[in-house]
Amino acid sequence: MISNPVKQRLQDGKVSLGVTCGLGAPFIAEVLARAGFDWVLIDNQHGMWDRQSSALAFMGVRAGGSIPIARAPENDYYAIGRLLDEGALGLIVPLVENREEAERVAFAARYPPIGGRSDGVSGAGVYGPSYRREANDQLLVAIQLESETAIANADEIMSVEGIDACWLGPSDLANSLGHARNTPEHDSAVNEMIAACKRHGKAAGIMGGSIEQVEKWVTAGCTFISAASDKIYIGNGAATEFNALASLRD
Amino acid sequence: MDVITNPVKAKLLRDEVALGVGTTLGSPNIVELLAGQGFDWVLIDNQHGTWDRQSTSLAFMAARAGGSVAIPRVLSSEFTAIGRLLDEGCLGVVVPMVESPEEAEQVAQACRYPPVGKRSIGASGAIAYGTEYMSNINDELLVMVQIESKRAAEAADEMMAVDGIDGTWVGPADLAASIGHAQGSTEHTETVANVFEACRRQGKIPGISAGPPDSCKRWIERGARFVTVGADVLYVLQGAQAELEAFGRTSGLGNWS
Repeated sequence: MISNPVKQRLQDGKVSLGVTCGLGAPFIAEVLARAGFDWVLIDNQHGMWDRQSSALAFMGVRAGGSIPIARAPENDYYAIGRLLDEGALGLIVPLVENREEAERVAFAARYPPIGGRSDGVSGAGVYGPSYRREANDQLLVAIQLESETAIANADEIMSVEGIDACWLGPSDLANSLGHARNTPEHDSAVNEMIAACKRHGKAAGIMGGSIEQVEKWVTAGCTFISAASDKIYIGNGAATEFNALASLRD
Repeated sequence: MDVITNPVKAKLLRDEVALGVGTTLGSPNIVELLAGQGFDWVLIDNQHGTWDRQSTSLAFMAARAGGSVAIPRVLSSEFTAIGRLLDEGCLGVVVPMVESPEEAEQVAQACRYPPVGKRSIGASGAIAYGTEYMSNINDELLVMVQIESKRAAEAADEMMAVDGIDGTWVGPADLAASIGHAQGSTEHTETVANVFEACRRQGKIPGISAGPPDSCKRWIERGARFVTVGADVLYVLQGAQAELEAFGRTSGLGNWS
């Protein structure tokens, strides 16, 4: 019996707070999970994961008592399938721009008869013999709206059956809009995403990246949201220590 | 962060059987699968298995992921070899080829932080157990030495009397070679039974690498509590053998039942 409390919370309209893990160390994934986050994103798009370490990171997240979610490197049928086969209980697919691309995601992530996912598991074997029967219901499938086109098509994308949530990519969206984060234009685009998700009964979300951004966007209606990342925690920790001590070198 | 607890040690201290499984194949994924099957503990065999430092610490994580307890067998009773395995995050250790109370005392010292022992301070994977690890682990750690020679069997009472040694996991094959009597012989069985009795006299936990289920059950009847049945490599071979036999073929490597 597999269960996915992240999906359950989102279906109940509650906030599910995640964190991004990209440094390629399965043990870091366990530490982030133990901190208490509801889910840990093993970032196979921008992170330094290979196939083996990514699967071990899913294990690390399980060891820490959290839910492993993978960002796929691209919207590719085989890339999506193998991350699920290795045991991710949720999936985020980047750069989805229209209905047809969203339908491809939904098709790749669900077993027949509702989808076209190929049958065969590796790491997902730890979820037991009921996995094949329960995966279609339990897996969380999210896409990223992160361009002007995607925001314009938000309704047709979020209406696709089998897409459970959006996790908006604010940086790529800023590049596409030509307006930085926290400008009125950028905020307006994010709010359009939130409204479209609400219209179609889907969970709205965003890569928050900081305490302030998470607070801001939860208040605005996001539930599938993430704080910062292993990279930022290590970078900030090192910078804080160095800055506090740097004058001793003078 | 909660105080850490070692469910294997707790079971053993209640005189219950803690059922383990051996792993030698070097795959953390296999460890998570076996842990999830329901074994109380998983032996990460750094003596006879193909584990390196990285895969060993990942195997400890895998056992946590599967809801079980990883207990490594250390390569040798050497001080730093024991310390680094503990630092990587396990709640117990099995030490091979311990033969005297003096050696048992060295093992106990290597496993416990001062003032009780001499373990060096600094953890890697063990930080998964949280901030209470340092104050808790001396009590929660399970330290088992292997009695597997004639000399060790004769010194069993003195070895088991050592503070900080929680019990033994008898190595029956090496013991058979040392005493010159095969496993299953009366002499071998009596030698093991005497070791178990020494454990009971000293308030320590009797255990053994117990072999297949029927053999394991016999050792449990004889008093063993810290036991292993099977191993990853054995399951692979047995599974392959059973499939081949279904097609009228015999296993190329012999009978693994």
